[in-house]
Amino acid sequence: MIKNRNKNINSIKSTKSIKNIKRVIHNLILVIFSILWLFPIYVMLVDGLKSVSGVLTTPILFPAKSSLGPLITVSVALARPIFNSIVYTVPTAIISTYVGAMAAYYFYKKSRMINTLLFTIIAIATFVPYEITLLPLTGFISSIGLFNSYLGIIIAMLIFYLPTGALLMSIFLAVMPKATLESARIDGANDWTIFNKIIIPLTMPGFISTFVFILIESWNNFFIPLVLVTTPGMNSASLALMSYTGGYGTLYNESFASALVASLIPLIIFVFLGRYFIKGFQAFGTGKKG
Amino acid sequence: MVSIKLNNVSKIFKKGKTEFKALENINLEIPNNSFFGILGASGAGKTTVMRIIAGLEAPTIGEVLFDNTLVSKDNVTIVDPEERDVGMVFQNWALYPHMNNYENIAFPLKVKKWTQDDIVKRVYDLSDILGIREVLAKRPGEISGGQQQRVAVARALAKNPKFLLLDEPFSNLDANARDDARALVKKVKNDLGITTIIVSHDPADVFALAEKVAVIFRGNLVQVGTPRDLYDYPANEKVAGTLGDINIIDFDLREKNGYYDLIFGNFIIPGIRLPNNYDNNKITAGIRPEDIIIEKNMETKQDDEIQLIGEFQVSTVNYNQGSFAVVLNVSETKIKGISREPVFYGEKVKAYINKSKIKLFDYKSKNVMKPDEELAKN
Repeated sequence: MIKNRNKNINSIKSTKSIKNIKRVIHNLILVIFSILWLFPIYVMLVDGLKSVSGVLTTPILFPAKSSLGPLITVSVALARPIFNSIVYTVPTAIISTYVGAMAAYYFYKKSRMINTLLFTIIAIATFVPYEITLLPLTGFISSIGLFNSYLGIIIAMLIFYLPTGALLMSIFLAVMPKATLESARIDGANDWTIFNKIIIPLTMPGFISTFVFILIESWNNFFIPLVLVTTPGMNSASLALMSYTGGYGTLYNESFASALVASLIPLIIFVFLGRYFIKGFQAFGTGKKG
Repeated sequence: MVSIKLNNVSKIFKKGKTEFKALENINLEIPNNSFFGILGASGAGKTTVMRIIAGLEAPTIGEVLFDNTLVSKDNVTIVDPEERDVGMVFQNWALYPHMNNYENIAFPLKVKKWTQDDIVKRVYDLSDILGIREVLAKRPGEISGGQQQRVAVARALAKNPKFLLLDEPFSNLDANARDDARALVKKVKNDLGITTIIVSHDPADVFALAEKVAVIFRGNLVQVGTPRDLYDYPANEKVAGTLGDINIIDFDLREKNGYYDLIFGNFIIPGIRLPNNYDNNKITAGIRPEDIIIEKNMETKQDDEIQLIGEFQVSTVNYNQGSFAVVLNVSETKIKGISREPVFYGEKVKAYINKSKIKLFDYKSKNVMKPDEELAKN
């Protein structure tokens, strides 16, 4: 009896210790990942705050006496490019998400063979590399007289991000209960009312996460402004950042400071809308298309 | 106020290369101001009928008319659902979760561009009738199932629709809420005098509400009539089963002076009259549990109709609203009856049968044969 009981206690103890080991490994992996993710931010902060003498005397991974000098310098220089980037990306993200949602609603409503094909084309369009469109894109934007203009860049970005919006939004729409939309039709609502009053509010987390995703993607987009902008006054933040890297005689404290400043806007947006972003991605799991 | 007519309506669903015939040649006329029930097992096609009437589907073949106006024909929707002016309560109510209950009920009115004053008045009037005034500011997710259902009914009625469609409206409610909801729907229908169609798999719904019922079985319209008629004179075995619990038993026949004894093991029903031309040595009979009276101590008076048929062993017992549903074990077959006194597992009990209520079906076709009295008259 006693032996048996001891055995039981031992087996309970051993399962407990296995559980503990599992938990430790689990947390260890999380810690390693967190460090991997935080490392660039650490470098950005440490080096962005170094003074010129700090850059010359300390290794890149170690902090030196901090100074706001480089941050102030690059903030002044980046003010205009950041403003430009906001003008490029906010309309792009809003229009791509909204119009993309409309397209998604159409595909949700009419499931026919031809639509499956169209949807596949849209999905493929999302993954077309920008570089191969260099000539047609530049030619198209010049031919409509919008080369080196705000509108031209927004249109060029829409070409790439509208399919993304449609693709992401149709994943979120796939989980909409059909009865809700049918009930709205019976209540007398037309497609426009159903879209604005039912679909958009009900897919809000998805709408916001699609918006954030496109905003960050287009903010980081380097290629489109690179080929469509010729005057420095029209530079986007991503283009302006380039002038701080490479070449001779750049001080890396300014490169890091500029990276810090340029990533502030997407970072702030992500911090405020992040929970919707995560909510939206959770919906992916139950989505049907995509 | 409108009458609805379905002419030769068939509906075929295609998924890839497989076809599924959901409805076949349905002819149905639903008169103005009536309370009409459509009864059938799940998958029988009854919801499809409702969706075709609402305009959410078009019939593959056939016509749908509202008061002689064609609304859809042969796969073409002529009048869209948003133009049909119907009110519909969905099975899961399909309320808009992001709006509060007031906004839910007001939604069809806002769409119709009613003035703000008219909307407020209409929503308050309806919520007083339905007793949901105090939950108007809450969202559908924050109220009980019964209240959600009332909100759904109020929303369906808000725009003064031509008629009201109820798709299994009570199946998501618990038993008590269901009784209240039925009473309320009946009251609202009578007060507003609106043509109402209810689709259900539950015979209790149509008995409580409908004046006339159509039974649908595997996409076919089998019988139309009052609930009482259908219950007592079902066209065939399937209708009998759809309308309520029934023992369907295949009996052997033994002739005695022009009458027949129905024999199933030691379950023997004597003295049944059959049509002269019935030429099978077996017959299918349907007997509802309430027509098999089970007794242990009490003595039921026998007469021409009620007759003792023997003693049997109790297999299981269920207490159900004032009576006991008893299952007897007869030759390895379960036969259900009703007892008013408690009986227990394994006991020997007496079984009486109400002969006038036995439904006789042709053994081969399973279609109903004329009731006994009518044969006697001939």
